[in-house]
Amino acid sequence: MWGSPGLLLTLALHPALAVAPARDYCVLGAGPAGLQMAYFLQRAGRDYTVLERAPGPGSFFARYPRHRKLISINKRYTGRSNAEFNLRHDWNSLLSHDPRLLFKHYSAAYFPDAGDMQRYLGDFAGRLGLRVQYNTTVLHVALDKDRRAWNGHYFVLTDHKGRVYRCRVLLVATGLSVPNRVDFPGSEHLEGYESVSVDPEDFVGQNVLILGRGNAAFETAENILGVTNFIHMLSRSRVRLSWATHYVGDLRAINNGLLDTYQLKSLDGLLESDLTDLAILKDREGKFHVTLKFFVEEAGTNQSADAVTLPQDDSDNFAMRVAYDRVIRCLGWNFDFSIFNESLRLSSGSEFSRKYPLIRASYEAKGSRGLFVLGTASHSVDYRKSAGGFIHGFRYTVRAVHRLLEQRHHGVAWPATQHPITQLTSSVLRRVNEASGLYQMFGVLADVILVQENATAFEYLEEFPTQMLAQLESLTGRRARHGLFVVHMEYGRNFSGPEKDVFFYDRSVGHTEDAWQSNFLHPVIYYYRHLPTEQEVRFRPAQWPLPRPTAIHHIVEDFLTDWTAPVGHVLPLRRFLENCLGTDLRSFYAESCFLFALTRQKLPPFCRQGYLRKQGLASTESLRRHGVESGLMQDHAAAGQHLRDRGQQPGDRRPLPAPPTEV
Amino acid sequence: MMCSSFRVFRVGISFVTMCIFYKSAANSLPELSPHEYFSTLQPGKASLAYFCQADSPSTSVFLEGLHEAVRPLQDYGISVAKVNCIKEETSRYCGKDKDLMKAYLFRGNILLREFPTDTLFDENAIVAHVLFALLFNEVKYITTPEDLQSAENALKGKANIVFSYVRAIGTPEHRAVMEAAFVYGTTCQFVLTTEIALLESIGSEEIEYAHLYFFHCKPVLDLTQECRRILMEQPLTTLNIDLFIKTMNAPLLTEVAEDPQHVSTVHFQLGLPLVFIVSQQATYEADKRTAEWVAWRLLGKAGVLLLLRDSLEANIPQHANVVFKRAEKGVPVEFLVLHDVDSIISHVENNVHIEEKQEDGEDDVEGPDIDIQDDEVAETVYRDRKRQLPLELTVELTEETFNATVMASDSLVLFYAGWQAVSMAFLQSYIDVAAKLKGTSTMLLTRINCADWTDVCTKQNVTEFPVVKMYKEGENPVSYAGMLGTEDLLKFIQLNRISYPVNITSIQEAEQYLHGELYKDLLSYSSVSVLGLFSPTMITAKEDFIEAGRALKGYVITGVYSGEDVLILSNKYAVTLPALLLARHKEGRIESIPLANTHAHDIVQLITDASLETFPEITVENLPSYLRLQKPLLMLFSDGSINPQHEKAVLTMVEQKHLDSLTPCWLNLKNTPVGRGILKAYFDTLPPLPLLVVVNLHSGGRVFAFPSDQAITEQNLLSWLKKLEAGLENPITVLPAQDWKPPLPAYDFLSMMDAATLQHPTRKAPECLKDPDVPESVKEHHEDKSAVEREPTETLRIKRWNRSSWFKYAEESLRRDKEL
Repeated sequence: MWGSPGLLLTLALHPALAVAPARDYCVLGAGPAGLQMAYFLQRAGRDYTVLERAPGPGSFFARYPRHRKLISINKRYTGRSNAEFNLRHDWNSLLSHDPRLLFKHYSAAYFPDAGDMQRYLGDFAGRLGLRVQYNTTVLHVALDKDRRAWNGHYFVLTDHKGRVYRCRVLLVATGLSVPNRVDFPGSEHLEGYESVSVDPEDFVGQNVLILGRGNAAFETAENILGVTNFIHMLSRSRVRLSWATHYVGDLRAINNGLLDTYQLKSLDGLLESDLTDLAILKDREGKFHVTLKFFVEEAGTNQSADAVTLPQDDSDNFAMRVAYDRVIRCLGWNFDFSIFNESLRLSSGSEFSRKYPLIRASYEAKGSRGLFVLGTASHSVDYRKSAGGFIHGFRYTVRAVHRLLEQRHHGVAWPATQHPITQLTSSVLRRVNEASGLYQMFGVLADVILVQENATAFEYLEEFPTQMLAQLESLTGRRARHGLFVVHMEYGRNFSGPEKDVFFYDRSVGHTEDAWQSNFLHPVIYYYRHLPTEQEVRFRPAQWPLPRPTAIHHIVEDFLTDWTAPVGHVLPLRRFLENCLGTDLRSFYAESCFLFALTRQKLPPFCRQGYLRKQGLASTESLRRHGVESGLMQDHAAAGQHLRDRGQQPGDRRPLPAPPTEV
Repeated sequence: MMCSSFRVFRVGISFVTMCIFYKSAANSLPELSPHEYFSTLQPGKASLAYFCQADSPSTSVFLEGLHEAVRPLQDYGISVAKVNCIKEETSRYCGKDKDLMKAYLFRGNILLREFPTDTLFDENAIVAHVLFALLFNEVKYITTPEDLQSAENALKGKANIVFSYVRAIGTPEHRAVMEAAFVYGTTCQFVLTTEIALLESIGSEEIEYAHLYFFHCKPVLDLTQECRRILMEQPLTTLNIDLFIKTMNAPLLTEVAEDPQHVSTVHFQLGLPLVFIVSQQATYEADKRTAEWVAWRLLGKAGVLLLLRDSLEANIPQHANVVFKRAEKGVPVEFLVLHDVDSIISHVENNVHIEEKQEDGEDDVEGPDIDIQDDEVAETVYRDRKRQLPLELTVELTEETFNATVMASDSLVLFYAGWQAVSMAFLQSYIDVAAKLKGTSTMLLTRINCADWTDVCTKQNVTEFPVVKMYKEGENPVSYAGMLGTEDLLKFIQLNRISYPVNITSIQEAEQYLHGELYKDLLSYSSVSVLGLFSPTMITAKEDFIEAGRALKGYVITGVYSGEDVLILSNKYAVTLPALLLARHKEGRIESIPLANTHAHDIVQLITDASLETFPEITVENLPSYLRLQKPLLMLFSDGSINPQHEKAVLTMVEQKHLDSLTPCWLNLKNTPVGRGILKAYFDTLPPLPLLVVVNLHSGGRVFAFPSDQAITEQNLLSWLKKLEAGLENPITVLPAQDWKPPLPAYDFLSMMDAATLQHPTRKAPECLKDPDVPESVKEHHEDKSAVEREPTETLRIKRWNRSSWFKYAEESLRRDKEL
């Protein structure tokens, strides 16, 4: 539709282009994702602007969800003070350094009101002084090839007033704004979720058919459940319950009142059929009948509604043989492709993700370099898998995109901390116990540990998109030459899914040796001797989130998601890390290091990196006593008595604990 | 015994069976007169006879051994007899003296060898000696590396060699080798030595034990090429040697086209696992090369076979490229996807390893359990978890209170993590410090648990634990870099009561400072006081010194003086400016060190080195400072204070520069009881203390002990050190140079996952189909199935891709091998 006028527009405006100053970053849309990106750009001191159609941020929440209740939980209490950990259970806040900008300060409701979200976003933009240009509707985006530009071209944006913006990088955070429509005979009779009345009074004593089986459909049903005669719900696929699939986009328990009444035979019901085969007929009384497209086509176009065959004519117990007063369409949303010129080659995904633009796992469009899709519209990366389509997921993927951009355009390597190898177990433990990005974006973002030469030190990188692992070196500016660990979180392979019984007996695993069979979200650590290649990532075994590693470790699932048990969690992890690196990662008191230093030519890393640098760990009386009792430490003072008494000490000359003898 | 005889039965080697069963069988040692004996001798048959006086005791140690040896020797066709030298029949073999009785070995009636009875001290010695004598040609005894080399050269292209080292003739190992030679002596050349040097020359370590190698010399056609040497890793027993030689002689690679479950080769019969490399027509040549390479590397550890998939009816999972058949009977074969030769080797080795361990477990103590804590810090902290610490002695900080607290007063902050053992161990010392300082210090001791306040810790740049930082008004926070213990931290806090470096304002003050009168109460915390002297114009030099002083803040007392009259001091201490004066309070000495263009970093090093003592008492705390010098330690172990004469002797030698290449020190076992552990490692039998040793930690780890029968005097010490230097002394021990490998293996989840996907696709998952009445689910189920069927094509691609890289790898290693 925009193809030809767009071209004309570009041509007409070309003289003006040359003068329009170029910005480094343009963000389209001041919703949660756009603001989140603006925040990171602002903190990094980058040249950016956010263009927003509405007069304020988060305009989506002004109208949606129609019934105003957000289904993102606002968990204000966790019993923990760890701010990072608490973000694991805060689904609404954006990331910032300002603790006042946490959503818990904006609503006391567990399922908060959409108006609070809008207010929150307003404060977020305002308090942080984000540069948003409101009331600017971008109508058209095109490319202007220029070899000197960062990505070989500028993005040229034209707004409703004909103003032109030239951008080196374009960050599209426009969400999904176009209601999904299905075209079939009679579809003009449908009312859309976007416009249907939310007043239950309007539905009193009516027969209602709802098309769709997402949260919007159920939310609509929930609202009118008490006043209608009955509600029937029709969709192509069977209901997917989010507690069975572990996907927050599936039907949430808060909306599923209708399932209850359906199963208790209270007149409401669920049906499955392909919507494209349907037809809706309006009879003389204005009531709607469901029939098949096939019958309508058979009857010809000129026939009146009453003449068309209905399914119940052949099969008199057809489920939808009653007439409906209303048919409501709640079929979800699509990305608005219309403003993007063809030259951007921004196409839609295939099959499952048709509503999303096609992007790479780095969130960069497949068609044009320098165009990134953020927020809900970027959900094709982890659709039906993780939380990338929701605030509590995309706030992290936006940060990942920002880190990629910093490296690509400003030479700022992906942030990493350097540690001696003795801190390896602790570093992993710290993250798996508190990191919210790994927890929310399970299977999508992972921490990467780059082992340094001789395994004496490592670099720790947080929340890298796992599917880009092969390109890690170029994307992060860090070297992975001596092996790497990938730390992320997974549900059990065959545990989640529609129509799976997630409450089956024996569903959780308690023994460390069964950790690989853990079903609930638990940390998994992959070890690669070499960075996997692109091919290995692409052709990885089915069901594997990552290519086959050299070795793998599962930390056994924990009811409290607290993976700090010394023997149940820490010890097996340490053994895994040790065996991958071929070294001994135990910690030792200074006294043991002293003994090793004088009785062995080599010292374990803990003694090398601590004791020998005059930073040994002293023991205390009480700890020493426990050490002797446990048999891990020797009581040399007592042994001294022996020595004196008998003059010699037969037998065990081996100081404990000793390194294993090699074969 | 029962166990091994069972194994023998299974394996079915007759000659071993006999030598194992002899114990239960009745041993009959015929007692004959000389005449009777010589009449029984048959031509070509060997026999061993013990000639003894008729009136000699009927039992002796030798006779017992001989009784035992009857059966085993009979099994080799050697008869044994006791010949009673009765008066009527004198024989020249009957010795005159009762004590000089001997045993004689005959073949037919030809005397081969006579043995004094003390060489035949037990059954093993008898069998070993007799066979050794009989197999004179089959078993070559050699003593030098040259002998071995010439034997090797002579046999290249002709026959393989079984080379063994035993500690002595007549040992059980020697017997085992001889018994093997009896069986294999005609097919292989046996070479035997008792010389350690010979074994060393072929690169063996751990020479305490007997060794046996198989030299593959037969395939070597080029005389310049070495024979491939395979070490037998099991202990030298008859059975093990037999197994080993059998596998060495077995074909390197066998091709099969039948179900691996039913394949059996000599390896398998001998209790070794089998490795099948799965091949297909298209890649046959490459697969074969890989398999040969694998077989070559697994010689003696496993049998390797090439499994031709195309002509096979049995079901092998599409992507499996290796099949592993364990040595245990009845265990299903494992289908594996292994991407390189190394992973095949390590898979085999790991599994064989486990097997061995299990065997050990049966008759010995159980192997270590990987679920048992072996980290002393983690274990002790865990065991101590219920003890209440007086945590209230320190202020616990939170996100809200952190900034206000550290800004309001000089504070020390311990950043720790409640779940980290090292942190929690140190927390105890930290609390101790707080208890010791209670009410006396202006420094506020605080702590923050980063497990709760992660953001605060990250903001303070703390990402590892534990960390101690000192916050002082108007200064940047300083991280504590000393030992994580009460004493050192206390010292750090005390020394931080003054600012660094101290600005000295007058000559008088400087003198007070140097004589320890200025900061009397701090002297016990700093072994030296350092004073930097600068003329007022030396601005850069002074700045460098000030920077160094700050860096040493909390560890060494430093002061600076740059008054107009500074020359008074420089003249007094005879040094040109800029300079350092170093006051050693304990010894009451003041040293001077000139500073010329010395950068801050070097000044720090200079002061650190200068504060070392010449003959320190080594403690757990100070050893690292002295190890930094990278010199061998000359260490005197003393039970209690050092003998002043010894001290004098060493100090005199230091002064005379005799000990410049060493770090002289002493250790007081009363203060440092762990020193006993060190002595135990050095000495088998502990001589009386004091003891003097030289420990060469940095090159070779050799430890030399000063002879304990000599007095520790200057002269004795000097001559001993000379001998040491000349290489005339033998080390009492060599410290082990092992790397610190993982103490125990980890769970191999990857294999468990592989095994599960190959056997039961959804083991722990709920069943998919719940309600057969729902028609929709049937449809969905079909979809699931098709998804499963699609899977192989994807994995197949991976496999092929990996395969090629694997071959590339194998070829590379082969090439490398050739180059070597």
